[in-house]
Amino acid sequence: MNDITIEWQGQVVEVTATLAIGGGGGVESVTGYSVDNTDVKNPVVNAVPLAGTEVGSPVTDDIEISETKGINFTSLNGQNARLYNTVGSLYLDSNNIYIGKTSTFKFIKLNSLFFGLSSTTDYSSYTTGNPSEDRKIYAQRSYVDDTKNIGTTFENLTATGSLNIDVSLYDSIKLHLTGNTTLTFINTPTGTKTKAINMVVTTENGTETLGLSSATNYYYAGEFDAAIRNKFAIDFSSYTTSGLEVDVFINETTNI
Amino acid sequence: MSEQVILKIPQAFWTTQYKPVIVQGDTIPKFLFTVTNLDLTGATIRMQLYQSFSKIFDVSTGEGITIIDSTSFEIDEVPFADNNFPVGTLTGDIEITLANGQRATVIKVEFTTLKHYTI
Repeated sequence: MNDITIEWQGQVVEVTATLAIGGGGGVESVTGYSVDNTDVKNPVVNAVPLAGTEVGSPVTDDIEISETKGINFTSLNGQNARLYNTVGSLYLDSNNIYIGKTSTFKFIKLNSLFFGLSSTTDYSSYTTGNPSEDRKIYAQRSYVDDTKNIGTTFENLTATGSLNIDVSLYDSIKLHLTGNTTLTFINTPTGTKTKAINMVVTTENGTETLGLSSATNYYYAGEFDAAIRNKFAIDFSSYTTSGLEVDVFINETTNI
Repeated sequence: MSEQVILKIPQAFWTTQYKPVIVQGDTIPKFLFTVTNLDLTGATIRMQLYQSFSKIFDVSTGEGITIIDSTSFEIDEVPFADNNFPVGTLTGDIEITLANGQRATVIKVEFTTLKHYTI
């Protein structure tokens, strides 16, 4: 800090001054990697604030990084990695991403438009044939309802008359006939699709009849017996040339 | 940007018992400056005093200002015959240009001349 004292010493006024040029405090210039000396009298020191770089001194606001600028993670062997933002998308330019210990790679839906892990291209790893090194991950190409693995059942314990069975909806069907019943299978597979369903049919009086809607390419094996618990295995397969073929197996497995 | 100190003549009454007082028509004593933190070797020093917009006093190195050594300089004595300063306060400053090219006006001057009654 500059200072001045004045004393009257006979014929001389003695002035003692502590003076500094350029920023005060006796500092005449500032050097260093982050110093802007464009105006030598007003050097600008561009320093990263200590807050956030020391344990116990976290930053209290966002750390702002300009678009396309990021954080470079250098490596002694030159395998550097870089994290940056371009038009709202965060890019991690690195060879690998490792998640270890108790970490979980988890998606959190913060917006209704979030689609999770998606890709239009198969970026799964190249398989060299060594199963200990390669695990091929296939890109998801359509929506998968994992409840399909469990299957869906349909039950009608008062079946009688004409009854439609939607093949696309059910995997296992249980019918108890209280009257003569004719089934018609609807929404059967088309194109090159296939679907198999199981069906169990019992009767109220042991006299009710069961009919299946007649159609081309329906093949039957076995017979329906109103006195027992009838087990059906029905295979609906659509072929490119012949179209839909339906194989119906009745009581062909064990004594039910 | 440099800090600026004030050389005020006369000083406030409570600062020292013996204070330099300049009376119109008197000899103005030389002002010996001892400076720390600055190297005056090769420096150029100027001082100008103004009353309002009128320049009353103008001295510079070799013409009213003498650099003694690297840490001191003086504003030379003004003979009484040349003391035609108007009564009142002159305002000015001292500009120092160091040999390295740095320049700063680090001393502001408030110089008050008292009325001379004995004629």
